[in-house]
Amino acid sequence: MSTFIARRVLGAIPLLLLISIISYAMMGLSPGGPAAIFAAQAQRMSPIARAEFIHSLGLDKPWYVQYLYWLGNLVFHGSLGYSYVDQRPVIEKILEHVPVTVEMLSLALVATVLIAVPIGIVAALKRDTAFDYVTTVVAFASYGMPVFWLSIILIDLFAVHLGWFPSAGANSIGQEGNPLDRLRHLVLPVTALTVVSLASWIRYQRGAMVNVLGELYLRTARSKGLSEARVILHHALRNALLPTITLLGLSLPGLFSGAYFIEYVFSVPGMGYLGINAVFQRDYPTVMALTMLTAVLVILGNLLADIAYGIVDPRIRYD
Amino acid sequence: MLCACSLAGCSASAKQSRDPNTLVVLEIADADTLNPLFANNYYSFLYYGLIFDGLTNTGDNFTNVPDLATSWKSTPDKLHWTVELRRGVTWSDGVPFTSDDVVWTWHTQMDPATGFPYRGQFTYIKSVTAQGPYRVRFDLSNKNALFESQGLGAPILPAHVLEKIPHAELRTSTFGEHPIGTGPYVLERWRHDQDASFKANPRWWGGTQTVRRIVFEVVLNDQARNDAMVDGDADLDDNIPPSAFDALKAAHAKLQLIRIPDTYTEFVYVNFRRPGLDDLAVRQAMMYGWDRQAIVDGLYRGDFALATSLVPNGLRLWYDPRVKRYPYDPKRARDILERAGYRLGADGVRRRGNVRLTYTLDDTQASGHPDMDAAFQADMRSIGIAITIHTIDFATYIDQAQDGNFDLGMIEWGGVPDPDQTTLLGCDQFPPNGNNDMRFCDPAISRDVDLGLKTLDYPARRKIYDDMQRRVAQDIPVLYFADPYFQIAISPRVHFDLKTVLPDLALYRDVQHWRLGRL
Repeated sequence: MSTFIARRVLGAIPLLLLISIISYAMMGLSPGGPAAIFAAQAQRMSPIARAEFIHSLGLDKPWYVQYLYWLGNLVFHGSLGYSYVDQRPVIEKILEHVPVTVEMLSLALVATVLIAVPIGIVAALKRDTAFDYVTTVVAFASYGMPVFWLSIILIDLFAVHLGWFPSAGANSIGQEGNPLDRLRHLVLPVTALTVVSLASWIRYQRGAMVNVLGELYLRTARSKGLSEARVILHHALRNALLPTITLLGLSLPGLFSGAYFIEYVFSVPGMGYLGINAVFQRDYPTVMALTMLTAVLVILGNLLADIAYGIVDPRIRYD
Repeated sequence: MLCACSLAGCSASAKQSRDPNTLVVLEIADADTLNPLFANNYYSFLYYGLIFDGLTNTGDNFTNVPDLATSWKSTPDKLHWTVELRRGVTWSDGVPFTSDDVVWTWHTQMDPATGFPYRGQFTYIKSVTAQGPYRVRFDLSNKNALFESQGLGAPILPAHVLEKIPHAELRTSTFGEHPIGTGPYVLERWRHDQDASFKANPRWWGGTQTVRRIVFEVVLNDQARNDAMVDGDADLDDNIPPSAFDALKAAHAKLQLIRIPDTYTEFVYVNFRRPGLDDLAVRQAMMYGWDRQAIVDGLYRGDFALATSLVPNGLRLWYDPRVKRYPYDPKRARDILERAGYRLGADGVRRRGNVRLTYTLDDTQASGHPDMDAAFQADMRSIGIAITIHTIDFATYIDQAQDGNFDLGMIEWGGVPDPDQTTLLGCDQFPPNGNNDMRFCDPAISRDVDLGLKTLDYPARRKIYDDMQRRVAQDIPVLYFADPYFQIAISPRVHFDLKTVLPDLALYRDVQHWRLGRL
């Protein structure tokens, strides 16, 4: 197992390097830049000051030279650099925004699993019945729903018209540290994130269960006189959960990117909010840090899925 | 969902639990840094304005009033200024304020190694020297009308805290997170992108602050801001969007709603290097053919006043209404184009020789007005000018404008309580020298803006800017749209002199003396 993990981690290094080069090149070659944003904010900023600002950030050098500085800083000093916007260490900014995103993603993931797995199983058991068809339609509808659109609908319905939940933010004014108030603010974003994630989970779970239900060992179990409940829960479910466990790891980056839009629409001051603002402000160090973090999450998600797969299925070997 | 519904029931207002001596202000974005050397955003200016003092401050009607300076005088040629400093002032850490702080601040700002973004505005300041602990002398290389407001108004920083840091490293110092100033407030807590709290500085030289604490809450969502104002969770919102006034009035009759002319103006940039747009007849026709009043009334419910020139009507001391106007008259617009030889083609677009009147209007995603752009497009179409709307991100927009790679661009301009337009209209201000992205040059206007910046006497200066406004209204270097109003909602428990309210940052110039009633 440890050899497998080491091999995967080492294999990830060139991949991360490639991602960082492509990301930096895309930013460096795109029109506009930090200096343009800075100059626009200070409309009467003189050309001298603009040139000095560009020079002070090293933006007068070609993108690949800037990239090498960034990479050197990361590799030799372990630093993600300083934000162009507020001159603070990028790591500090990210750590500030992590908690609310983690809270939101965790709640969404738990809600998704708790809702999707039972529905998927029941849909498989009641294959080709009304329940199965309705579930399939609802799943596809939620899958096709743009997350920003759903978020706006939720705000309009539950915040504006019904007034049940706040439309934005992570807490009410003067209610910082109140967990119930925090939870209230997370209901709509978590709902949006959960709804758009449900479809793939339900379909995966249903598909896995349908496959397992056709296996011969279930017939053997039944012929031994086991009750249907024991056959399903003890023999079928454990095997049917395998693909779902894989999905758990793989869904991490998807949830993370979904959070970008949701946090922005709901003004939740998390990583997504930070990331979108950083893109608009051309804050390259922050954008790079978040891009690399997402890349690491994707790789880590895949790795975790593979490891988890091996743990629940003893047939899988890592050599 | 059951849990969610029970959570919905726990929606307690914060009103009951909050401190009545705290002023809660809603904002739509957060500051970047509180270090005045590197701040470059409205909210940074707003926040650090509570912590730091300048030598002068903004008084009623944008006049300059004493702050850390008690008086200032110049030689008759206005090139040498002597400033007397206030005695008995201490920094919030207890160290006395002296002329060393003023000298250090200016030397640091003017050192290119520091990277102070506004250094270019002050290159006319030759030297700053201390003449004893409470007197400073400024020597200028040439007269500048903005010296008293922008030069003397610049925030002064604590030399004893910062002088050990090399200038090139000031940018990444933690001072922006832990500022020490002489102003009425000190930073208490700052949760980036969420809220910032400032408490009364017990060492402030100006007496007791009646508002003991100010909390800025970042709330982007219009609905959430309105709810907070109506529920009494917040005391002030200075970002009331167009059309929200009526809803707020209906929801809370006692809210104080104020609408005053702002110091910004909105216009359409014109690229003078594009064939057709360099023709005054085309620009005149565009102005006559653009139903701006309908847009203001229909789309923005009167939240703008029609602009007449580049000086917004919020600058009461400088605005001149007696300039050429362009009331909506599409027939006149078509006649002008006909007379100038632009004939209507079968495609509905006019052309003269190789010049076909078809242009792209750039607007930004962040600050764009899609409805207004579409109305402009329709109005232009009706006089035979084809407009394509191009929505791009802000950074790209700015880069394209500076490169001259645009036809027309919608922009908001201003925010400074002075009519100076040197960098926008000067013939020597084409990029990269200045902000004259239009590449517009009228020697008479260029002379006006140069002279205006060097004239300190108000009546003489006013005459120059009257002339500039008359000329720009005739020449149409930009297509004037409208001047926005600064709209604020204030809780009935907040009391201050509403007659002297100024827009933007100047609103808060005396916030420490506002009075807060019961919640």
